[in-house]
Amino acid sequence: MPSAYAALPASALKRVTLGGLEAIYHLPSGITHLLAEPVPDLLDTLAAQAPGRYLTAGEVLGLIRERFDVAGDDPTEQPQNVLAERLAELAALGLVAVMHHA
Amino acid sequence: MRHSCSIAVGPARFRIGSDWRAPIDQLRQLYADYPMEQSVPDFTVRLQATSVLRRVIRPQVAIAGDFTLPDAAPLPLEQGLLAAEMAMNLQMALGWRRHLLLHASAVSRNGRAVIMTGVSGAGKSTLSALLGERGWRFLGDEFVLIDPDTGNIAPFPRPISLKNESIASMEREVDDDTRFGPVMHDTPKGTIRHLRPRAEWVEQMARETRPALLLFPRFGYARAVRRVDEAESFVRLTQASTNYVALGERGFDALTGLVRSVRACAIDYADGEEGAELVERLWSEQGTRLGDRAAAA
Repeated sequence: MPSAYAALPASALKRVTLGGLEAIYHLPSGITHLLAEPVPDLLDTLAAQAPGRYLTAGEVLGLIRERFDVAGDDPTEQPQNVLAERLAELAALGLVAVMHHA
Repeated sequence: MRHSCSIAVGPARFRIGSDWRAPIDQLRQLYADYPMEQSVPDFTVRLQATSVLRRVIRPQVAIAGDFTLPDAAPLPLEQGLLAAEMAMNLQMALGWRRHLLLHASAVSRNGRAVIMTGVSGAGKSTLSALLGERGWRFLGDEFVLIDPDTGNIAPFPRPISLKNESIASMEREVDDDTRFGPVMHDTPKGTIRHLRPRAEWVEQMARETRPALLLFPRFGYARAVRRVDEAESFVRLTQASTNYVALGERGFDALTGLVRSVRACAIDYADGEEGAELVERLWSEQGTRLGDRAAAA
């Protein structure tokens, strides 16, 4: 089973749009992140789910496709794999919660 | 300590003690216009001899106080005033928590301020000094203090630390020789001479102002103006702040609020005259923009 991701409680992040980027203050760690598209959209997609609902990269991709055209620069690269990598990076930064299936 | 004085600059109160009389006398002269009442200080600074013998034989001034750097080299007694100024800066940079601190200079006109920030040598001190003599209110040449609750600037108008070539240019600009401190040669930053701000800027130092324009000046380059977006301003100001991380969420709120509320430009200029003229031009454009916005509303 692939890893699944969920948004942190709203109280854990402060998000401010700065031009084309987004500054995010992670309250538990006190660390500031400056993130570019499409990361804020990924966070929005997870935050729109019911509390405690975890989504796999495939499920996130399905939701994003409803709103955006998804096309990679590299045709050999699967969008789902790219998304899985981005979500894993966000989890490593502590900006989303992750559930690893055994 | 044998000799001491108390100095209030903006919202900060310092008590400076010294093993020698000379640095305290120089401070009293340089800060003659500032309140010197004995009250509970925010910070204590001590200028002390590196050893008992060093108090009298080739005296060396070591900086001590609430906050110190372990590797700070002592300075000769002739540079005791510089040691005191450096020590006061250090206390602010490491210890002040009431405001978001930016390593920047600022001037204002009609209650609205221009913040100028850049690395040492970028010309922010000299530009603020020059503008302070030409109809602008001088708010500070070293630190800009942003109130996290209101977003306003609390003035911190210390004497201006003029370095090398800027000393002569300000000596030409200012008629009153009594406003200058002693010339200190061969300091770690070259030749340094302090300039006392005009007395009215000190009298008004409790009056806050609103940031309106953010500039990133660079001295010694061909004239150029580039618009800086909010994200770049934010990153550059986190680097220019000495206490952004320490303030946590309040720092984040203050800094994002600042960069979203002001226009920002990087300006390159060849000399002080050109720099002052660029600031004036950007300021008048800013006024036009604000006027347009008010008209649209």
